[in-house]
Amino acid sequence: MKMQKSDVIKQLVDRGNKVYDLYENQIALEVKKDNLLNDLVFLRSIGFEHLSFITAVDFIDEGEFEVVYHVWSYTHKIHILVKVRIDRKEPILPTVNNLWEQAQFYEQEVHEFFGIKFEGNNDLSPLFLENWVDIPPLRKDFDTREFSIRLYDAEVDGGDI
Amino acid sequence: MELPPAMTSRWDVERFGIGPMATPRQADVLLVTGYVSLKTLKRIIRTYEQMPEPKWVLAFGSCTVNGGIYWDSYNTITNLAEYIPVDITVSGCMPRPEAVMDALQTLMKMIQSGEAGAYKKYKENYEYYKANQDRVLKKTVPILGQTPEMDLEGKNEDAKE
Amino acid sequence: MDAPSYMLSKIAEKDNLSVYELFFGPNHPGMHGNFGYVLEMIGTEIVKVRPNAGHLHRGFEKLMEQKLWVQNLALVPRICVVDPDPNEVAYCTAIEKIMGVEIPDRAKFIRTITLEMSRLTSFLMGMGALVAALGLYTPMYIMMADRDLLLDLFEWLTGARIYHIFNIPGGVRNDLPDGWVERLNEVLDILEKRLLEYDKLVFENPIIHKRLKGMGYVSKEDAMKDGITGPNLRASGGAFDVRVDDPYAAYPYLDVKVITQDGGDALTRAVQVRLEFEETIKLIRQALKEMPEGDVRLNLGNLSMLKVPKGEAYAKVESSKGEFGYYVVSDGGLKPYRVGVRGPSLPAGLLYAQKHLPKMKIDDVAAWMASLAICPPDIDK
Repeated sequence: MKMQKSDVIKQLVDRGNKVYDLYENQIALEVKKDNLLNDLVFLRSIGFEHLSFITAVDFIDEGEFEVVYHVWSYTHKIHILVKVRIDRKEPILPTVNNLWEQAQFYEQEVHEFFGIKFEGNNDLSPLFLENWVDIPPLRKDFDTREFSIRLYDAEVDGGDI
Repeated sequence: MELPPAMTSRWDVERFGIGPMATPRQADVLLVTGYVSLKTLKRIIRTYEQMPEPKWVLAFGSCTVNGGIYWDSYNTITNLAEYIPVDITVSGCMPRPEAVMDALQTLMKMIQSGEAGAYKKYKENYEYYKANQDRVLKKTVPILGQTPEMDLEGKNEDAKE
Repeated sequence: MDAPSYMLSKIAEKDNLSVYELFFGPNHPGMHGNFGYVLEMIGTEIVKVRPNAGHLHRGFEKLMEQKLWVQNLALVPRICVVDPDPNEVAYCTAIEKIMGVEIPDRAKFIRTITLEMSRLTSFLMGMGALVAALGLYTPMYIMMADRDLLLDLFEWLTGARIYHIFNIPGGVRNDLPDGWVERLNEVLDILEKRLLEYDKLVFENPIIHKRLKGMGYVSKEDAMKDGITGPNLRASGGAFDVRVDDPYAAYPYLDVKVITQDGGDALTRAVQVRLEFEETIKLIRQALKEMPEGDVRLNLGNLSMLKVPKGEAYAKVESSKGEFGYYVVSDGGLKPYRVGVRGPSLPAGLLYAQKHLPKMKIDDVAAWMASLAICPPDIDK
């Protein structure tokens, strides 16, 4: 049965979460790290069964990573950004690959690019990079321009200046 | 991406006696069609070394000359000619099929006049090329000096290939 | 030197049969694009698969944090070469959502037309790859030549054949040139007639039926759960389409017909593309007919100094392969704080490779890949 956006928001607020009404068909939900699995299981049980992808944002000034789970409901036609903040120094989250099989690869990707560990995921081997010895590249303190100049002798503006 | 049109009925490079080959062992020219990531570079070198002499390399697109739009990317090399000898380059991103045909015909003329023979350079200066290849492919120390804060599983394991 | 990759290397024995490792790609002639699977095989049968992605990884998400909002427009179409416009539209829509602006109606229609044209080119490429994987080169040659008709129109409109960089925040770069609509109508007529030829050459061809029937079955429940979207989902019976469910551009004003089938196998997916091809032509015709007059872009000032207010948005677009999404986070500056890209091919290309390929023959791998419309660059990014 199709639920209105306001009903979904009400259900989520009743569970004690912070909800932001972003756009038509799109809301953001902030959850706590300990509650992440519970909330995702709850969302799945009320019809949010499509996991678009998992990504992370590095808020270096606040010393935190924000991992974002994108879920979409085919019945309610609503997209939820499920956001969880974790400490940058101790980036560990529980795995969700029991809920969604494809999460395995998104977790591998996030681990490779941000260094976030997923507890319970046995295979966090690198998916894209080979022989990577620097800090994970999508972190804000990794300077890809400097890296390219030092390793590949890249020239600024193609050497035109 | 511009190669399928070039090889099929509209441009039809076959009328100039140019056709794709299934294995490097039968090929004369290696076309490097665009940006080269580290993982690809490894395969390009292997493919190049498999090809029987005489052999030529056509680097396709700005990305193989100075990195093009990806010059500051951490995973793409900037100048292909540092790693394998390049006979002719085509500029553009991406070059049009006409440019491919033009380059291949120019290469034919260069071969006839004896100008194109970069593969000989590869043997003469093997140490130079090998050093460059090893520098990017077998790096062991972080380029930017920062080590990963946590042990990233399987990061330094040489891929089994 | 290690053993060359083309040589089969024996890695184990099982029931007195040797298990061999074979690198299917990146330079295997049956591979589409720069991608690879490491197959463990007994004879010609696959026993285990390890996807070997990352040959096309350029770190887009990092590069986009370094460039201005508009400079990134040159980067985004490169994430999916075959179907570039959905990237531009998704990225621009996300920016417009954060800024809270609505683009003019005519711009919406022009975006829709370019999106659907891009879908046609991608379908032609996809069908061509599928039939070529089965050894039918003649239809592939015709499809590539037909694709060029559309690429010529793109060149006329945008100046480029492949990377159009035509959609900008606030609308599109320019209005349709004189005579362009007439030519597009001609091309659509040609393509519609060609479809009958494709039917004869491809879809009534017994080879297609024998080879593809029953291959790579995906059930509706699995597809919905595992993130398979687009034509692949609809071929399994899921009547879902981003154009209808979460409409963008001019789709709210158009009659998008969601075609579904129940088969769920490679043959059904091939037919699905053919049916949607026909529907796409109708949709372009309708858009051309109902397109209003007016401006094609909003005045957002100097775009190279564009500042997007603090905020975040996820915008998705129905590309020819499924849901293409851009998650954009802005901190109010001249550059994006973070852009996350959702490509449609990852669930099929990595997860379903491990589900489908074991027990399959090596001959079928290329056709299986083409039937799921797997586009390696959007897995690698």
